[in-house]
Amino acid sequence: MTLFVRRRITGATFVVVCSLLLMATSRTMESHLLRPGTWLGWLLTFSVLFLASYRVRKQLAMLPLGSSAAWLQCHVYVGLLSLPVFLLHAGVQWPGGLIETMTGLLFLIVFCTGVVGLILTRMIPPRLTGRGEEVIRERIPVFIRMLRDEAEASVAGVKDEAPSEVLSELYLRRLHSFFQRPANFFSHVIHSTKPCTGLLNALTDTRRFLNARDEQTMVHLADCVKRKDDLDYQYAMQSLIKYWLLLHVPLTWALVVFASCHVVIAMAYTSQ
Amino acid sequence: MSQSSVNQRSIDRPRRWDMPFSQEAGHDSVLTDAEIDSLLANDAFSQIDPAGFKRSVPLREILRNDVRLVDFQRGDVIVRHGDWGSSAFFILSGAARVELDRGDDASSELIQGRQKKTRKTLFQCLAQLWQNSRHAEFRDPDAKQKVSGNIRSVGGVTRVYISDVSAVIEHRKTVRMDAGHWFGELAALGRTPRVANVFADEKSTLLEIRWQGLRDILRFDRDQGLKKYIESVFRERALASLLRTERLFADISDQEMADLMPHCRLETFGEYDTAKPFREMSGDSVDSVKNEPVIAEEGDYPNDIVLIRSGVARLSQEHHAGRHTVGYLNPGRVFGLTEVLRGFRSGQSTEYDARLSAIGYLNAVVIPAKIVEDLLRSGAISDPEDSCRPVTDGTRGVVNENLLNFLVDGKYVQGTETMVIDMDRCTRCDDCVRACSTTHDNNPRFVRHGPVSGRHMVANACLHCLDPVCMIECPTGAIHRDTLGGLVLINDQTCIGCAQCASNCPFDAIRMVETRNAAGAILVDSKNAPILEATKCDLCHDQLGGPACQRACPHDALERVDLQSLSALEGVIAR
Repeated sequence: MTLFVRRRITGATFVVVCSLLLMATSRTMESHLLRPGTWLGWLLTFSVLFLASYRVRKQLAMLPLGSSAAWLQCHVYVGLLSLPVFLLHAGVQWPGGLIETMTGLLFLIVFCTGVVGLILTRMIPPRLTGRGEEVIRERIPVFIRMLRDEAEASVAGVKDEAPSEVLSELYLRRLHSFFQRPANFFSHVIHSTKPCTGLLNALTDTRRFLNARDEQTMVHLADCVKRKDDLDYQYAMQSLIKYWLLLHVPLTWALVVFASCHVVIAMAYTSQ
Repeated sequence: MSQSSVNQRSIDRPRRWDMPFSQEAGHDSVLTDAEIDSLLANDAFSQIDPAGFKRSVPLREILRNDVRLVDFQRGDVIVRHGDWGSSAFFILSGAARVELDRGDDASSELIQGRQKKTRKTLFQCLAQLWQNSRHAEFRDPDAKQKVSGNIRSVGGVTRVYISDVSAVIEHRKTVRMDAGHWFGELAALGRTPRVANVFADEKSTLLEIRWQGLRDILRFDRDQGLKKYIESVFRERALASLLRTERLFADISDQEMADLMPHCRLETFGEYDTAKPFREMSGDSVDSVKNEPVIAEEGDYPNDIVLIRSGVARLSQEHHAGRHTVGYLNPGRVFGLTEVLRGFRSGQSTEYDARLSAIGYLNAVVIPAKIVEDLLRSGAISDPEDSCRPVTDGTRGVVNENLLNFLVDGKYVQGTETMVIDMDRCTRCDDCVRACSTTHDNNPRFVRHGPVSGRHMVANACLHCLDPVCMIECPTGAIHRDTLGGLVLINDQTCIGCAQCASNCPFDAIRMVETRNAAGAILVDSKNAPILEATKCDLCHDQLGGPACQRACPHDALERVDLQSLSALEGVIAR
């Protein structure tokens, strides 16, 4: 059993055992006519604050605060544990009141984005490794421009030889926009090869109208399309893995604000 | 680039002596025939019989192309303790002084061009949040001017000098070497660090010979005078301590060690000079395995035990028409002992389990197996029962053969802090780069990019090599190895931006950057040329908690791995 598998089993066991303990404690308190909601609320508040503090740890990379990987493990399993705590705290009914509704809604959205992010960070890297050349996302527009220059030079033909009208027309109609910028984002996200296959088919269909030299150009263009498609794939997947954080992180801070308001209001009414 | 040069396919084949040593690294003079005659008449070379040399490598041409004459003023530092040297020196006139003290006081640091190693406090670490410069590559021009006071340029060559030689002689233990002395030959041939500071004691002229020339003289000199001298120096100064690093000889008595040493041979293999030939030869791994100089052949009777002093060796086994790479050996590792012990125990004939070949350049001590067997029989050394381990089959380990070939062919096995990224776990979030930037005044010191084998990338970050070729020919000693941790560091206050280290580094891990002042303007010299500096990963040696890149990786994808043994890499892969 590898270290990572052992770690996953330990983490999952921790979440399950803690959830069962919390349920048992909550039931016991209720049977003794005590209200578990208050301490479950505090537990949830501290959990949310701890989960939000991971972002602070990332900003303080220069301090010896433990490895980011260890923090992420805690972040994942405390995050997973926070759902049963939330359900025990809020009960099965949807909370009433604007602040409570917003807090509950934000918690669930942040939880869901977290789970989606976890799945994305586990699924996307092997796919990136398995397709195309390894490229830094910020450099992809540069590579696309180089590829566009190569494709356009190919279509324009070599010195003293007129370019193929068929290929030129096809390039202007279908390929020009394709080579301008990263394309087919959503197709790549859902792993559809339809746009690329369509372009390759369009190129192949021109074969009957081409002479031997232009056919070589067509093959070269098809190669450029495939390479561009790989770059688009890298761009889409690397963007996806970055963009989910744009949802998760700001909503986390919104949750912290609403949760704080909820705590203040709850404590004010509890003390009366 | 002109159209004609784009289409040009035929060029003169590059040859060894296209660039004489006397014109390398800022030197710009060619030895005249009169100077060569004068050298041939000198005691150092007059005993050598020129007839023993090959027609393609005559002694006269070796002197013309592999030698340069260098003048030093009193106080000029000739070699520094810890520098990696590829040349040896012979004092023609004047005198040099070798500093025997190796203290880390201010004067020694000044000579060596190094900086005092300090670690930031917790508050200083935190203060980087608001104290980091807003501009890339900010340097304090005043600090640089202050330190570079002891650097001077003579004939286009930059030298560090000691301003008060008398004080150094008075306060530190030194020994004077007069004309007729060789020094630096062991470091040059073994590609090991210099063991002392040497500076000119008076106005002196030294002959500096690059190691290839020295090697050829040792090879073709029939009289073997220089070879005997170098071997005697090696035996006197370094061999005993080197042999004692091997467990078998660790407890041997002084007398038995003295008996053993005359039988040991100091040998070099391969043609590896600087990074350039390595870059060329690292292109095709299949060819590189075939072309590597063989030190010991698989299946041969084990006549020798090979103790590697510097360089890296490949272990390979025959597999159909090709060869499996089954491992590699770094300095300090031994080949052949397993087979010799197996034969000794069984009393039967045995053979080498694998072929040992030099990857590029290798320097080794060869110990005849018979001597070891005699020592075992006499009880002078004891048979370490647990050391008899067969060479592993490379296809079975956690590290698959493709990855092993990739690491060995690319020479990444030199790395003591190689940045290995598991691309199946890396989300390309660049937290590692941001953390590096935060801890280096907002300047990242590596690029998250590099060659990939399977799912493992070796990123363009300094490997902190065991044999750091980047340190060869640094004129000020700004790039140096930390004496405690072994890290390769650059002192940006003594770096003069010559780019020698960056061009030597085979891994593109050193970058030349334009420095800026506090206002963000690029620093320039009197001729308006930008002031460049070499930068690279320093493994966050001044930060609390170790390398920020590794600590910042949220997915355990990035690891700094010591590839001196495969077990560390196996530990990373088998997670």
